[in-house]
Amino acid sequence: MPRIFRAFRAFTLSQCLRLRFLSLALLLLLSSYFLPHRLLAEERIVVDLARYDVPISTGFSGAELLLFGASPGEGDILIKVSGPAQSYLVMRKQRFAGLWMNGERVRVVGAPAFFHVLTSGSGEDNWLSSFKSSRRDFSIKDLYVDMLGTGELLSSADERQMFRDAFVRSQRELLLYGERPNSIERLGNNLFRANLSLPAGLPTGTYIVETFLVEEGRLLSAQSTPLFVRRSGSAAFVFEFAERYSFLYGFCAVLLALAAGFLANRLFVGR
Amino acid sequence: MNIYLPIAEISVNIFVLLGLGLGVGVLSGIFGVGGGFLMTPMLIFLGIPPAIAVGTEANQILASSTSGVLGHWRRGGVDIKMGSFLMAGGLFGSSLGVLLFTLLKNIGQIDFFIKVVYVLLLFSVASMMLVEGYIEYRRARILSRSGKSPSRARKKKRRSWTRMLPFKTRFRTSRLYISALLPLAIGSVVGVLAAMLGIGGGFVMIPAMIYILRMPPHTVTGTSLFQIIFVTANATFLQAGFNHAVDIVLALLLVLGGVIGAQLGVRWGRRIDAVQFRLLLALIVLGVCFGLLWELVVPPSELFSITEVR
Repeated sequence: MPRIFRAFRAFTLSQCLRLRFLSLALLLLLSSYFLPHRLLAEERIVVDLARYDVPISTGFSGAELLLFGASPGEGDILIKVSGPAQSYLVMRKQRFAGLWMNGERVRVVGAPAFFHVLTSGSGEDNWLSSFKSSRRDFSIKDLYVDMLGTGELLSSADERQMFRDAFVRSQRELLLYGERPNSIERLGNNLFRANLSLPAGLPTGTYIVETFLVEEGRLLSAQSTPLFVRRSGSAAFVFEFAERYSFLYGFCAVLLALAAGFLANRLFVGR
Repeated sequence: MNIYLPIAEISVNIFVLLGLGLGVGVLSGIFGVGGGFLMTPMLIFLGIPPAIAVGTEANQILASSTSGVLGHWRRGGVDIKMGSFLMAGGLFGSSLGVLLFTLLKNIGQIDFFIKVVYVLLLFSVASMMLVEGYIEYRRARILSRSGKSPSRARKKKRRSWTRMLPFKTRFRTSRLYISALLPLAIGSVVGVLAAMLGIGGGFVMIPAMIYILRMPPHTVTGTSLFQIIFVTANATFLQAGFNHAVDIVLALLLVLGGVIGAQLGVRWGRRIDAVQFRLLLALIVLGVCFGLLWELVVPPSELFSITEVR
């Protein structure tokens, strides 16, 4: 399977899109033949991604992630895509001699770098709220993040909430966090599909795509699939190099600039 | 067309970057300034993290100074001995600057510091240029009216304290006999500024060379560029090593735009009215200055800022 998707990467975008739809159509056709009765018997939800990895190359400016699958029965579907855990520093600006500068700070530890929840029904449905409250990380509101601060700051619940809200607000604005009700499209024959936009500033790491089938507030079936977001090509090389051998990278940057300067002088100034 | 900058970790329109390099390059070609003091704030406005804007600018200035110094070198406009003393101070200063930069970054105040110092710096540069432009304008008018050369009675003996310093050294190319402490001190101060602000420091260094060291005009620019090469090389190396703040892709794009822009600027510079254009540059600098000041003074719409920590 991975081999097929590695082959996908080699195609241009339009080819890739066309192929993906072709393969999706094929899969849907095949699955409508074979899958449903088998699935119904096993009561399992099956989901697949159009690709398992998202390469971030120098030209990366966001991507679309296509999820599709089949669910037994009429239950509601919830898809959660969460990125690797990451720590953040949240700082609040305060006025100092007429100028705004960073003041109190809180560390948010172990929050997912990416968190999106797609659901088949509207967010207000009863099934969802009862299901969500049964587990704590199915909505941004209930997402658990660890917060570390100095002094009295975090002993106040209001302050805690303010810093948490600010963090979530920032992540939402960067399109790293989001919740979209009614975003899973039913195609009939128990098939469904959903589309998730990945922003240009996508953090790298291993993501987990979890799909849940819920009926009357009861979890019937669940499946999880990994998704790999990694730098690729020259962007990956430069980043790795700068990170691992930072002084050698600095030395190379110096040499490169000197060479560029000499070249520029030869080409333009020297004459 | 967007390009993903691997170290800044954002995706920016490639033509905006090339255009920025071109624009600042044209200005630097016309006025003979490095342009770092305009480029770094512009990169910050574009959304490049201030720390990476500063580190990358050091790298870009290294390239543009290298191409600039070669011509001066051929014409004998580099006072190597003076340049070495300035450089020694500059290496010390830029190392100190990167250290201070790292400390400020770790306590989360580097962005604030960069903006505040830039506001002060740009304001003083702009007002200096305005005053100078006004004086030149007046002089040109007096000259055209009376036909006499302006009086040179204002040359005072102001060097008294600098003459009393020890470690007197002879600088042959510049025909000077002054204390070695002076270029060391000037080099250090400019080095700190260069490393922390992503500038070459020419617009601080050159007035200091003229008014404090009293160097002859034909060695000033070449010697300044000569020492900037070493200072920015040191700053690039240390910023990359300690702060991961140098984005080669960004630097190369800026160099590309900057080199072409500088050539155009040099050509146009011969044809345009220097006095009027200097006033224009002063206004541009003032505009950037107020842009930064605005960000500092106006209550921010978002009080919280979020940064990733490793």
